[in-house]
Amino acid sequence: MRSAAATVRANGETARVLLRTLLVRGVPAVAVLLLAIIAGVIIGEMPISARTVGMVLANNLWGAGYPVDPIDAGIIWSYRLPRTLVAAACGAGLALSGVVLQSLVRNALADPYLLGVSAGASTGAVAVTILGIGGGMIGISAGAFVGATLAFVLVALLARAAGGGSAQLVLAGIAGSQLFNALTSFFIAKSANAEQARGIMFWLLGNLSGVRWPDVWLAAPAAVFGLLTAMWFMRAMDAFTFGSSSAASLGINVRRVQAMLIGATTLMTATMVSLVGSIGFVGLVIPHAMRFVVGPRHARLIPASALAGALFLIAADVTSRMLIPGQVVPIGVVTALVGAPAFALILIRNRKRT
Amino acid sequence: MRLTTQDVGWNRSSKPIIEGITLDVQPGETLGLIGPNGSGKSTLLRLMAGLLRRPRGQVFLDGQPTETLSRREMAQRIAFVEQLAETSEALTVRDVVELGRTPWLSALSPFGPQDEAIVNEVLDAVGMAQMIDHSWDTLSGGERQRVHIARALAQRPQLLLLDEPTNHLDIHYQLSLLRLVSTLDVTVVMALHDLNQAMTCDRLAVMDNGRLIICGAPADVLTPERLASVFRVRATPLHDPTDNSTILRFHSIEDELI
Repeated sequence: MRSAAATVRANGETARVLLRTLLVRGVPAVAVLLLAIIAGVIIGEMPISARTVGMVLANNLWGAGYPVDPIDAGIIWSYRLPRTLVAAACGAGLALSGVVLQSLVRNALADPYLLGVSAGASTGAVAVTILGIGGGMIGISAGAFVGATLAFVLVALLARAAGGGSAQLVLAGIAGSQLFNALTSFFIAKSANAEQARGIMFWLLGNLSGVRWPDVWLAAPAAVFGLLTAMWFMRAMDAFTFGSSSAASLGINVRRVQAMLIGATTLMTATMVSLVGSIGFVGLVIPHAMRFVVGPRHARLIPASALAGALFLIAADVTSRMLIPGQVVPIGVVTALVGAPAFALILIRNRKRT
Repeated sequence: MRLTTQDVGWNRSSKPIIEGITLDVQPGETLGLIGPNGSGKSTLLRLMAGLLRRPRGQVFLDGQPTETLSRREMAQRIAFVEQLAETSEALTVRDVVELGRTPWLSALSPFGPQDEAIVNEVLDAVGMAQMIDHSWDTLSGGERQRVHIARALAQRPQLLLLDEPTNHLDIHYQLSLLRLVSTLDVTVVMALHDLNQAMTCDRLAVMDNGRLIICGAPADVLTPERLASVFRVRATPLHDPTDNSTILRFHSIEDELI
C-alpha cells in the first residue's frame, strides 16, 4: 500500500512526465497533421501555389485581406479544405475503430468493414436517402448508426451461436456484410431512379467529392470523440490482451467497457460512412502497421493509429483525385488497392504464428 | 485474507457444474484443490474470483460479501492465474507484468516509479528478471506461466487463486514455484493434479462430480479408500528417508482386476 504523501509526489512526477510526453510527441504529431492537411489542399489537378493557399487560409481564418483570385479562393476554402479535413477525420476514425475492435474481439482481422458494421451503416444511410425516412444530414447519419448497430448485434449473435471463436466472428462478419450489401442493392433496385442509383453506387465505394463544411462539423467531432473515448479506456484495452475473463480478473468491468467502446466505434463508423461511403481496409491495415512501429500497448497505439489513419486517407484522397486526369477515382478503390495486398500479408503472417 | 464460501454453486445452462460448496480458508493458508478431471475445480476457482455470472450462495472476503465489491476492488484483493491464457500480440515480459498493476491505476494515478519497482520485484521473485525485455512469443510454456504468476503478484493480492500452476513447467520450476507459493505472505487456493505436490499444501479440499467431498490435512484426506473411490487408483505410501516424508506411488485399479 503506498502512502498518501508518496502518491502525491508520484502523481506530481507522473504529471510532469505526461506533460513532457505530450509536448515531445503531441506537438510534432499535430504539426505533421497540419502539414499533411496543407499539402492535401495544395496538391490537385489544378495546381495552386502554397503562397496562394497561405493567403486564402489567412483571409478566412483571421480576415487578413490579401488579394486572391476568387476562383482559387473558392476551390481552396469551399472545396479542397473541407474535403481534406473530412478525409483526415475519417481516416483517424476508421483506424481507431479498427484498433478498438481488434482489441475487444482479440482478432487481428477485425475492422468495421470486415465485421459488417460499414455494410450495415450503408444500408441504413441508403434506406434513409431513398425511402426518405428522416431526411437531412443528421437523418442519414442516424440511419447509418441504426444500420451499423443492427449489423454488429446480428454478427455478434451469429458468431456466438456458431461457437464464439475468432474464426467464427470473421465468418459471421462476411455473412453480415453480404446480407446488408444485398439489402442495400435491394433498396436501390426497388426504389431508386437511375440517376439516384448511379450516385449511390458511386458513394458506396467511398467518395469525398460532395464534401462541404457542414460535413466537417460532423466528422471532426466524431473523430475527436472516438480518440478521447479510446484513450480513456486504453488500460482496459491492454487488459483484454489475454481475453475478457483475464480482463475481468484485472478489475475491468468487461460489459461496461465493451458497451462504451463498441458504441463509440459504431457511432464513428456510422458518421464516416454516412458522409463518405464505405471505405475499406483503413481500420484493418493502419493499426497493424502501427503495431510494427510503436508496439501493441494502447497508450501509443491509439494516438499513432489515429494520426497514421488521417495521413493515409489524406494521401489516398489526393491519389484518387490525381490517378486519372479529369476524373475522380472513388477513394475506396484506392484504399482497397493498398489494403487488399496488406490484408494478404497479415493473413500469411498470422498463419506463421500459429 | 480469509476466504469463506457459503453453500456456493453454479449452473451451465441449467446443468449444475458445482453444488453446495462451503469452505473456510484461513489467512495465510495454502489450500490445495484436488479432484479428477471435470470435478469442478476450475469452476470453483472462477466462482471465488467473481468471474461467473449468477452464482448461487455467497463468497466472503474477511467477512465482507464479494457482491458488495466492485470489479476493481475485487482485483485489488484477489489475483487469478488461469490455465493457458494466450495472446498473439507481440508484448514483452514487462508489458504483461505491468498489466498486473491495472487495478491500482487510473487516469489520475498513472503508472509510476512505485509500480515499476513492484514489477521488477515480482519478476525477481519468479526468476524472470533477466528476461524482462523478451517478447511473449519467444517464451516457453513454463516461462509464460511464470510471467503470468508475476503478473498476478504485481496485483499485490491478499488472495491468490491458481489453476494448475505447475502445468507446462519442468520439474525444477514445478518445485521452485511451489516453494515460492509457500513462502508468499498471502492466502493461496490452487488446483493441482499431482497428488504428491498437493501433499505440501496446508490443507486439501477434494472435489468430485461438482461437490466437495472433504477438506482437511493432506494425511487425513489422502487415505487409500478415498484415492480408490475418487481418483480410481490404488496408492502405496513410501517413505523417503532424506526428509522423513511420505510419498505416494500409484497403481491403476484396472491392473489389479486382471
